[in-house]
Amino acid sequence: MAKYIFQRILAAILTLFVILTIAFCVVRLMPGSVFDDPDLSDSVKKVLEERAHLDKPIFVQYLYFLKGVVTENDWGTSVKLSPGMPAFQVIVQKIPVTMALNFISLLIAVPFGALFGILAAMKNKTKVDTAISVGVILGISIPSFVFATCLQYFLAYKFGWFPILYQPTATTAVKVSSMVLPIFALALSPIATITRYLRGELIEVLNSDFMVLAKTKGLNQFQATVRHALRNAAMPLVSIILHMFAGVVGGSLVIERMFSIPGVGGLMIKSINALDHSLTVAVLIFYAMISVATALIVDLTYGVVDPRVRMGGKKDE
Amino acid sequence: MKKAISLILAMILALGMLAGCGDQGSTQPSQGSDQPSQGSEAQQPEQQQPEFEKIFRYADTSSTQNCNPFNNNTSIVDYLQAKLYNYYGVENAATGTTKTVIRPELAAKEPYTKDGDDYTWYIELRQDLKWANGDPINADDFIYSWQEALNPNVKYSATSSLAENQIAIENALDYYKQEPGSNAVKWEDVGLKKIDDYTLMVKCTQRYTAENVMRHFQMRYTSLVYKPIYEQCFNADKTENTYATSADTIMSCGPFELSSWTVGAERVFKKNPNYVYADEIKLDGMHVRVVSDDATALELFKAGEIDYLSLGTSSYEVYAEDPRTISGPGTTVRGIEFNFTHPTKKYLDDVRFRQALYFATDRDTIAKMTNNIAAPYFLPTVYSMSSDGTMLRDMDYAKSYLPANNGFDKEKAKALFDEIYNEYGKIEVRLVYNEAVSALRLTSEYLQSSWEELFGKDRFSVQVIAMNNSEAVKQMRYAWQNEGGTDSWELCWGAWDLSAAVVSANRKFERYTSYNSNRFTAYHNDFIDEAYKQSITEEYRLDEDKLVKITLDMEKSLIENVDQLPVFQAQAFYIFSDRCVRPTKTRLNFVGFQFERFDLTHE
Repeated sequence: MAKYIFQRILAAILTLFVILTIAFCVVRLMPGSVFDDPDLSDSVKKVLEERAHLDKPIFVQYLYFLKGVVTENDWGTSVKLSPGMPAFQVIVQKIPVTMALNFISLLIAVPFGALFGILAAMKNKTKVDTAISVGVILGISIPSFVFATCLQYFLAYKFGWFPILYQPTATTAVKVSSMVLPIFALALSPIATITRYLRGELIEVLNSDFMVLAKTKGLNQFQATVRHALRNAAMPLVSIILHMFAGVVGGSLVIERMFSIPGVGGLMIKSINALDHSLTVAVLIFYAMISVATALIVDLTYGVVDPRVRMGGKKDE
Repeated sequence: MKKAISLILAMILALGMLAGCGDQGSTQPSQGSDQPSQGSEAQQPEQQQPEFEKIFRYADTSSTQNCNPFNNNTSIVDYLQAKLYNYYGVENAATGTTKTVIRPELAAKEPYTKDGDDYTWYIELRQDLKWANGDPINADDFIYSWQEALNPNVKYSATSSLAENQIAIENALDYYKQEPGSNAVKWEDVGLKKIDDYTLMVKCTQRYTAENVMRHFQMRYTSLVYKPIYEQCFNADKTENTYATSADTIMSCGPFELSSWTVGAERVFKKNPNYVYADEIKLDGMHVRVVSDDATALELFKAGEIDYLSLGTSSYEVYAEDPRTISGPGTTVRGIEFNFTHPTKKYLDDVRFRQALYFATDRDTIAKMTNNIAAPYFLPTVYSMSSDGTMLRDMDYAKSYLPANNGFDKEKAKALFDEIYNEYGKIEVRLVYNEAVSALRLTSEYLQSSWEELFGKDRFSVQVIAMNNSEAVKQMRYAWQNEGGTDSWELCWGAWDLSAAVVSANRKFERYTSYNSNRFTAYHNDFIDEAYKQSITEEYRLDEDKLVKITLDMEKSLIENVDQLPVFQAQAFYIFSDRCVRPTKTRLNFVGFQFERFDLTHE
């Protein structure tokens, strides 16, 4: 098991290094310069570019960047969006609100998705199943921003039940109520996704032989479903839910923009548009770290759950 | 399976703790944020309690993360930092006209010279100046701030303008540009000195007018920073500074102070009773929400949650007929560049072809279509060079050389095009526009159809191409940077001006010289080359009439040669709630609507 974990971690580090290299080169090769300002004279521009090593070949710039990362944990400094601030600090500042919002929406999505999935599977081919399936299709096909617009227009603007925008400095009650709509908008798609997967898996499991056996042993439908069917059907869900965690810190560009939430969503686009290259690279690496870490956790979880995965078919380990 | 579930639960717990302790990270309200500090309260003059708290609320698209005056060039800095001199919008009640004038703010009076030394200016400070916390402001604060603005180890990208902009200060640029750690140019050699606690001296490299000096020291980069906080915000090797990145790392001396600031979400300002013109500030505070989404801002305005709305494309449709909607001309004239160095299409360098397009452009229709202003000119309507505030476009001479009908003359255009067609045959061009600006897409498509219709599709064809702006600019510049030119473009939209051109309109024409390193295309107008050089000499700079004349002559030459094809001047639309009382009816140069001087009639 230790060897398996070591191999996975090593692969993750190598993957990150490759992403970091590609990200740095792609971003630095983009047209335009952050100092491309008509108010700056040529001599000043030259001095500023020298200070940021932009006058050097890209390989040398990359070495400076790597040296900073390895020796000082310096991922560069934002030049345009948050001038003077370390790039990673800009991201870290924005993570808490994004995580709170997305994590809560996921926390709501899991039980509701499971509930609707179980209900649809147990009531397979009934009106309840049809109604839930229609809801699932709508939930998956309607983009979150359309749903968010409707929520904002009707519940916030028309009825005035919730604030239109996120209220960061209001009283706790107002602050919580201002988070309801974005959380709801963000939860819709995950609820539909979980419901769809669980329904499909459960329907298959409910018709298997061991379920018949469980019922003949005297368990009722509910007991057999929860104790046996759900356990087996939940396996594929583990990877789905874990991958949803990647989105948790990734943020939601549109929802954050609509509700004026100061999260990480949109930071990438803003930094690219502002030619704030250090920040763009830091954001890219941040997202890459989240994705690689999630994949690593999924791998390790499978390894723990299913010994065949970590043993790779070898009997002597 | 149990292990897997345990692992997931552990992760959920860990993330939950993270989420729980978060949400405060970006919010850094100062202590007692909604109450004035004790020091401030003590000095607040007695006044009648308003019946309600006058808080002006608006939505802003700018999610600025830094209010350091050396790093931020937005109006947010103006709310927080007073300057030596500042612009001020005034309205003539009798005529209903408005203009922007400059007046002393932290300075006691206009700058002056003495003993016949026209290179050295003296600026006297008011003696009762205070920071928002009550600490006194004197000449030491200015010298410290300016030294830090030009600090060669930090090298703020914008502060080189403190060294050279409206005036050039002795040794200041060399001090800023020198290698970090170098002592080749000492601070003592820079022409910014303290004479006494309330007098500053500025030594320039050339002769200037008092107006020049005042315009220089109204720039944001010349603002003050509060030393005790600024020093704490340096990194270990003193090469970066995080001053004014949160409400508790900034000190105000302007009309307002920040009582709380959630970066990217909201800024809450409260009145600074120690501001030098505090008696002119009728608001108790301002609440600014950062809203990037047009539709959300519109809903906020409709719901009465904000008092001001800058109308975007969608919201303009809603309020186009509303009598409260007002327009404000921008400083940008959008025009089309020509690839003069195209290796095969030599007609691009033929003035007859460019004039044909100039006269074939129906600017009135375009202006109506895009809600902008028809512009057969280069100098926008908001440019002024006169000490009395007269706009250049209002001058008789500026009107005299503009063609009738905003330059749209079908017959003239056809006649010129016929000559070109006879010489070069069928004309095929690509017109590149910035994909992010919808008005450019609309205009490009309109020009494509109207030009093809006027000249005949069999004789003239236009292909419209959308492109990222950075890529388009890079492509344009490549044409003159690359020997032999490039055939990758023929026509391309371009708009890029020096900010200093708003008060020194002659500087706009620097970009049209054949020697400007930032030029978009290979301009080669000999008159512009020579006239621009003349316009920045003392002879012209110190003589307002001469400077205005040569500036307008440069515009006239550009129009005659169509070195660029001017099409429209950008315009924006705004709406205010009924409770707002504005100091001026219109939006003014430099000061905008002057939100800080608003009054509110009711809650």
